[in-house]
Amino acid sequence: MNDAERNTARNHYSRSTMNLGCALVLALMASGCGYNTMVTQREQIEGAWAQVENQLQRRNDLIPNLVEVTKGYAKHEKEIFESVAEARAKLIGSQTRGERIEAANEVSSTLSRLLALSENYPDLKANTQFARLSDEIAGTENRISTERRRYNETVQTFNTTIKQIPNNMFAGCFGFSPAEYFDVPESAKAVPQVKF
Amino acid sequence: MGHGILRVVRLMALAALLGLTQATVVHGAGRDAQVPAPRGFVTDTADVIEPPSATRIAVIAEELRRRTGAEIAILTVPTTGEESTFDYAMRVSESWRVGSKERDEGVLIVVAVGDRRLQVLTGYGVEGALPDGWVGELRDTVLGPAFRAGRYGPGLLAATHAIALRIAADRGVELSGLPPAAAPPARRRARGPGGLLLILILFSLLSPLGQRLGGRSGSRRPSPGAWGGAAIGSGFGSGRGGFGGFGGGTGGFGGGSFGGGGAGGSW
Repeated sequence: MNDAERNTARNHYSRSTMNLGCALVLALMASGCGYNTMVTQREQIEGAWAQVENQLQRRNDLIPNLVEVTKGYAKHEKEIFESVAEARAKLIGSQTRGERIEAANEVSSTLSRLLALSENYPDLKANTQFARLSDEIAGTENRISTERRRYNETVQTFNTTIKQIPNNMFAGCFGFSPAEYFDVPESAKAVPQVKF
Repeated sequence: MGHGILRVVRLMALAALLGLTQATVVHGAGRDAQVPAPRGFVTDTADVIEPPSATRIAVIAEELRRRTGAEIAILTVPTTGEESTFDYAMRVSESWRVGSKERDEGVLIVVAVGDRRLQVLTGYGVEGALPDGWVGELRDTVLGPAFRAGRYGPGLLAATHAIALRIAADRGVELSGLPPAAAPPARRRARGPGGLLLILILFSLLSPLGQRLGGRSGSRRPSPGAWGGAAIGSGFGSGRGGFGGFGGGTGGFGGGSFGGGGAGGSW
């Protein structure tokens, strides 16, 4: 091995040491500023949101059947059927999380109006298929509210983390911004009441 | 100059303090009705279930759990206060954790007697066997009529029976059905104090073992020494029978989760 080769080898050695050192320092910095925590918590938000989506999907699948049964007894309530169909289509077409939350709330409020129709149509209320579908819808609304609460809890944890010192100094440069809550306006909070 | 630094330090301390308080503020605090500790399969704090029904419910629930792993729990309360029956029942489910941790096969029936409201919750693992529509039908045809007549025990017994049969059928298991009332306690009494003592000794030997192996609820709430009190208090002391076989912790159930499925309403 001549001098030149030895020099190159030494250079290689020192360069890889330097790289390793850099990586170490970066890793230490990253863990020190809560990077890993923030990544984990953001993943938890996505997991919780997926559960919300499952239930929104389940509800959207139930709606056509419910509308079909209801139409047989309350033909003239076109306006309600249209608003349910509109809200459902809006949810299917929505892209951003904010849009989806808004559309989901709209489905909730139009659905509760649809279910309330049974109060005006005794025959509809007595229909067992309608009763069972109402139960399925009510159960799904409850599932949505449960998954929504769990989602909001993960959002709260994450949003708190990125506001804490020293995370708040790094959150921005790592691209972490506060996540959106699934808020329900008071008007849409009325869960369809089942009276038997 | 020195003042300036002091001020900066003070500001930073204030900011840190603010950050802390922000972290401790919890969304939606302020809870009303308390969640009681479970006293077995049947926790009748409203005192509306007569002992024979409670015993038979426990026998069915016990067999169901032994054969399928699924658990049924019943709670009666005088009222859930300002909270909706559903929200209260969800809190109970998160505290009791009915059903196994791995398969979430739990059913929780909460009856708020004074509010004339009930909620049946189905764990994730039994949602397939017990669709919301079926639970709603059970409420309309079994629970509702019985409750309106003030027959809480028989209504809950019939519902437990129907639920157990349905879960068993879903698992391809045949239950022995409704045994004659009070048969198991009689058998236990016939065994005499020696038999009881033997069971207690077996319990004391097995329970810590189960806990160490991370079995059932033991791993979730490690409370050394609690198993004895829990097992005796809920299984033997209450006279409502059949709550043996719990590994430890205060909950007694398997650690199952609920997603909000089921059916409820007022009667």
